[in-house]
Parts: sequence; C-alpha cells; structure tokens
Amino acid sequence: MGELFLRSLPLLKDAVLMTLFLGLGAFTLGSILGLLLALARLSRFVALRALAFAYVSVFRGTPLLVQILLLYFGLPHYGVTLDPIPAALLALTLFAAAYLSENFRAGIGAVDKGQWEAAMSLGMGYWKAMSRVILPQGLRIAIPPVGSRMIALIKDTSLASTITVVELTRVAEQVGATTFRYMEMFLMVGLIYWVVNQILTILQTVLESRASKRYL
Amino acid sequence: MKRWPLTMRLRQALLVGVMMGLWPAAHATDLLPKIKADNVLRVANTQSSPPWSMLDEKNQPAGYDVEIAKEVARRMGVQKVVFIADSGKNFIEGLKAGKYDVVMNDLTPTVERSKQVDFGTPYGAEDFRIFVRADTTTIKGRGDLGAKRVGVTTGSSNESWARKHLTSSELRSYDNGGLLFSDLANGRIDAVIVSHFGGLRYATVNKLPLKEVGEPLTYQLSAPALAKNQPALAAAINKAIGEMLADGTVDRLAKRWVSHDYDMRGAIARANEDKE
Amino acid sequence: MNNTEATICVRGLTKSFGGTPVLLGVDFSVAKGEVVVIMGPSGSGKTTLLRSLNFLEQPDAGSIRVCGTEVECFPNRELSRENRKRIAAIRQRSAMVFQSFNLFPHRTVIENVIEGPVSVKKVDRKVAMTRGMALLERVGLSAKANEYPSRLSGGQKQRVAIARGLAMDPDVILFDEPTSALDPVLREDVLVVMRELAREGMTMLVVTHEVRFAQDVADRVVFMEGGVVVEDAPPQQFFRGNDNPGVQRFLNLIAS
Repeated sequence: MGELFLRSLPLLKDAVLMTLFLGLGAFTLGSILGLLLALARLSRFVALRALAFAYVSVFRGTPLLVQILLLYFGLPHYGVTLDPIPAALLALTLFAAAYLSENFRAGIGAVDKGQWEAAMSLGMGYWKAMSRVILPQGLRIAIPPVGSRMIALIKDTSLASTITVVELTRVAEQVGATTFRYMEMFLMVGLIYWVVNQILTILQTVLESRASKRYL
Repeated sequence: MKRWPLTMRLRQALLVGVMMGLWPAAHATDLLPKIKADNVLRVANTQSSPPWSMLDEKNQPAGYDVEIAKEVARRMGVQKVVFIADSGKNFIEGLKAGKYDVVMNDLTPTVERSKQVDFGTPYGAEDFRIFVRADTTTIKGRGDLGAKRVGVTTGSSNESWARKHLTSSELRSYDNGGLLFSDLANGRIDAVIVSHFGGLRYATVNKLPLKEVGEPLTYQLSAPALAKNQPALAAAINKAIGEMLADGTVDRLAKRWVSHDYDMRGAIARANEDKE
Repeated sequence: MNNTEATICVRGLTKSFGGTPVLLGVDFSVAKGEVVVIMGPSGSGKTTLLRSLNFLEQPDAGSIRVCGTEVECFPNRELSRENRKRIAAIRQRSAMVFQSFNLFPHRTVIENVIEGPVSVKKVDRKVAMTRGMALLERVGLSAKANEYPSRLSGGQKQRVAIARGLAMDPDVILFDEPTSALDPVLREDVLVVMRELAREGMTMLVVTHEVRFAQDVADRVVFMEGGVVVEDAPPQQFFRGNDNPGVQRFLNLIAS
C-alpha cells in the first residue's frame, strides 16, 4: 500500500486542500447564515420566524446529495449555471446553516433568563442585550454541537465528488479506477479524513476549555 | 470472573480480526461447479452504459455486453443469466466477495488491473472520440484540447486514458453519463471523451446539438473480469468467446447492438495493437 | 401625597398570570429619598409589583410613572413605540438588584460595573473605569475588580450587583429579595451596603423579609396580601401595635 500512497500523494495533497477549503469554508459561511436564521427564529416578526422555520425544514429535511445535484444539474434549466466548486460550496453552506441555526438557537435559549432581565434593567435594548450579554454566553454553550457539525461537514464534502469536484473521495475513486485497488484507496482516504477530524476535535477541545475558564 | 489483562484482550481482538480478514480467502472455492449445479450465471454490469449495458423499454437489461453474456452462458450449458446492477467502484469487491461470477461491462484490461482481477478473452472494442457542441469551431482534434475543460465518465477507461494522455486539459469526471452530456450542452465543459457509439446514442436520444471531431483517439478492448483463482470458470468463458469470435456471432451481435456497419473483429484487432 | 413630586407613582396596577390574578388594582407611590420596604407572603404580588415598575412584567392595566415618565397600560393592547421608548427611559433612571444577582459571568467584576454606562449611556471607557473602581471601593470590593464572578461568594456578588446598579446613576433602586439567596452569615455584608445607601438619601424600594433592616432603615413598610396593599405605615406602627390579623400571622411566621 505504501507505493500506492506515494503514487497518489500529489493528487491527495491537492485534494486535502480542496476538502478543507470546502469544509471550513462552508462552516464559516454557514455559521454566519445560521446565526442570522437563529435570530430570525427568535424575532418578534411572524414573517421572519416563518421564513426561517421553512428554510430549516427544507434544508434539514432533504438529503445533502439531492441538494447538491439539484443545485448543480437542476438550476441550469432555470438559467443559473454554476461551476462545480462554487456549487459545492453553496450547497454545503446552505445545508450547514440549517443545522447550525438550530444549534445556535438552543445555545441562546439555554442562557439564564436572569441575564436578559439584568441587561434590560440596565436599559439595554434587545439587540444590545443580545450582542453583549446573551450571544457570548449562548455561543459558548453551543460549541460542542457546533464542533460536531464542523466535523460532519468535513465528511459531507465527499459528496462534492458527484459534481466533479476533485476532493479526497474523488481521488480515491479515480486512482481506484485505474488500478482497480479501490479498497486500498478508500482505506487510505478514510485515514486522512480521520486525521483531519482528530485535529479539528483537538482544536474544539482547546476552544471549549479556554472559553469555560472564566466560568469555573 | 477474573478481569483479563489488557494485553491478553488486545491479542484476542487481533486474532478475531485476522481470522475475519482471512475468511473470504479461505473460502475462495471454485465457482464453476456451483454455476452448473444451480444453472445460473451471475453477471454484473452497470445497466447505464449504452450501448453495452442499459435498460430497454420494459426495464430489462439489454445491450451488446448483455447479449454476449447470454450467449456465453448458453454455450457453457448454463440455462439462466442473472444480471446484477452495480457501479464501477464496486465491481472488484463484488467479485472478490463472490457476489457475482463475472463482470461484463465495457471493462478494459490493463496490466495494472490484472493484478487485482483476471481478464478473459476480449469480446469487444470501441474507439474513443471527442464530442463537442455543434457550434464549436475551436476544437478540431486532440491537439486543440490543451487547457480546455474535458468531461469523462468516472471509473471508465476513457477517464484513465484521458488522465494519462490529456495532461494539459482540465479534466472533470461525472458519475452519470447523461449528466456529462448535459454539461457539455450548457457550456460548463468544452468537450467530452466517450466511445463513438455511446456518444452518438446520447446525442440522438436526448436531441442534443453535438458533433464528433477529430480522429479516433484510441481503441480500447472490452473483456470479462473474474475474481482471481478461477481457472475452470475462466477457461469455460474464454472457450465460449473464442467460438463466438470464430463463427461470426460477435460480428452479428455487434451489427445488431452497436451499429449495422461496425466491424467488431477489426476493431478488436486494432485495439489489441493499441493495448497498454 | 402630592403626585407630581413622587419619584414613583402607580395607579390601578393589574396583572394576571395565565388566568390567575396577581395584582388587583394597586395604588402606590414613593417619594424622593424614601426607603420603602414591601413585605408579604408568597403569592401576594409584591415581586410582581416591583418587577412591573421597570416593566420586567408588563401590566395588564394601570399606569406607572417613574421620575416623570409615565406609561399607561390597557388590557389586550400591545405597547406602542412611544411607550417602549418611555420604558427604556424608565429603565435607565432605575436600577434593579435581583435575588439571584444575575451578574454577567463572561465579564470581570469591573467590566460588569461599567457595562451599563459604556454600552447604554455611551460614557467614555476610561471615565467609566475610574467611576467604577470608586463604586467598588464603596462596596468594599475594589480588590476583586479583575476577578470573574464565579470566584466570588454570594454576598460579594450581590455587592457587585449593587455597584453595577449604582454605576447607572439611578434615581431609584429596586431590590428584589436581595438577601434571600444568601446564607445568614453573608447577609449582613449586603445589608451594610444597603443601609449606607439609605443613609446617603437614595430612593429605595425593597422587597424583603429582613425585619431588622425594615425597622432600622425604612421610612414606610407596605404589606401586601392577595394582590392588594393591606397596610402601609411607618415601621414602628407596623411592627408593634398592629391589629391586622393577616399582618400578625405573617410577622409571627417570619419571626420564628
């Protein structure tokens, strides 16, 4: 397996970067969108709440594979033709945002109601209280599920292979097709995914302990 | 119960793991007797690679490779053929795990692949051509493909050939042949490398404005693939195919399923020269 | 009492929680510099009354005037934008000290104190820091300025909460059972600070069971039961010579 690895190395190197780009990119953009959605769910305007609810229902309730294929192969019928990488990034972002918004909403909801009362009685408005008091605490509470989502997203990037993006899974299939040594390639690539995710898990743990220090 | 020390438990786990790993190998029995006894030959294909394997209007497997398989079974004295649909990446493991007896789906034998599976006598050949949109004037042949976006089908021999020979093109691999062509039609890719007949078929069936340009890029063989260590089965299949090549059956089926003026034996001969 | 001079003036305050009436039309006022203690059994509506004053509870009906800003509530009517502005104004003129402190755990002690002035009143941070440290000095906690609340005892947290309230320069401080969550040993630390404040002339409204505090410091004791004010008298009159059986019962209970 060693020589197979060495021979695939140049392809794998580029592919890891693509996987990380898609995964972390979708996570970052998805977090921003997810936070907006969470705030919309908590808004006092019925229209915003309904919109956010519908969004989460659609993107959480349908398979990511279907979303990717529809975005890439379906949109051209309506005049919107995206290239593979932007399409994959967009699909992963929209998908991640749905789950992340629920994580953020739960985190915000878990903050003690007394925090709102203290902020309000100081004269803070809703947004000031939210941004200065509630979100810093709520986001910290949300770190574990959000971290899990990021790791899941790294794995979800493998579906980008179905729309021609050359990431880790695609390379495994490609070299596998030439050599017929699919299993070895999948094992190799599986290991790489695992290593990447272990590193991210460690980062999450460090972040959690740093963020929680002041509460101990 | 006494608590077993960690090292002992690890050794136990390792032993079980190794046994499980060796299990399939220990059970690589000769498939031919069972095939004859059950009177069934299990053949794997994708059923989505026209004209080699596809589904007809009644959703039954049909195509050149399908007909070859049925004829081979008949000559082996096996009454029934069961076609199992699977995808390129699963064929090898499927063979190794004994899920099917042989794969016949436009697979090209290469030296490298022969290390994993055994290939039988080639029964088909095709030439790979460049397809572009009907209004493209900038691509007239292989030389014009540098720095262009070229589409191929994942896991196919045209993908491996393209990776090896079109090193300056931007290659994109599609799981699904149909989607490959729709991307050519909407402009996301500039050209497609596909077999002559596969390409024509897609273009006409989907009424896409495409055309073929340039000389044939290469001729590639199709051969049956079997799990290793099946000498009896391989001999039986190769005998059947040898007969079919000699007595004109191959040409007859090719004229019916590939094209009415296709010289299959000639193509096989040319592909044999081209072999890598 | 001349209503235009009163710091707080409440009329006809009514509130129900899910069908259960809690305040049944309360009239009530507090003059500048007065220290008013509110007592009563649980469920009497005393906490709801206090929380209505800065609109942590929204009354069903009635009017509330704090430091000249008046908000009138009508049943089944949403608050208008004008009213919401007024509520914000009222909240800036009053401070609240909670039973469970409600300090911001993600901020240090001094950051807790300057949070209000800096983010709401837009005071310059350095100025706020200086004032904040002075306030912490006043409540005896300047040494803990850079600690996080998780490191403080209950009594210390409550004193920081008082400093946080004072930082907003309020006209009145509302205390919601400030010592109930503290064990007896720590209560005195907080009560000392509260006595100081009273002595300095701060208008204070305190819901509490601390009888000695009421006797020593209060100008009036208000007794609530069943959603109405039952008794409103200076402490000497309230605690001795009281002929109201409900008040007697209550006093016996908390005395034991």
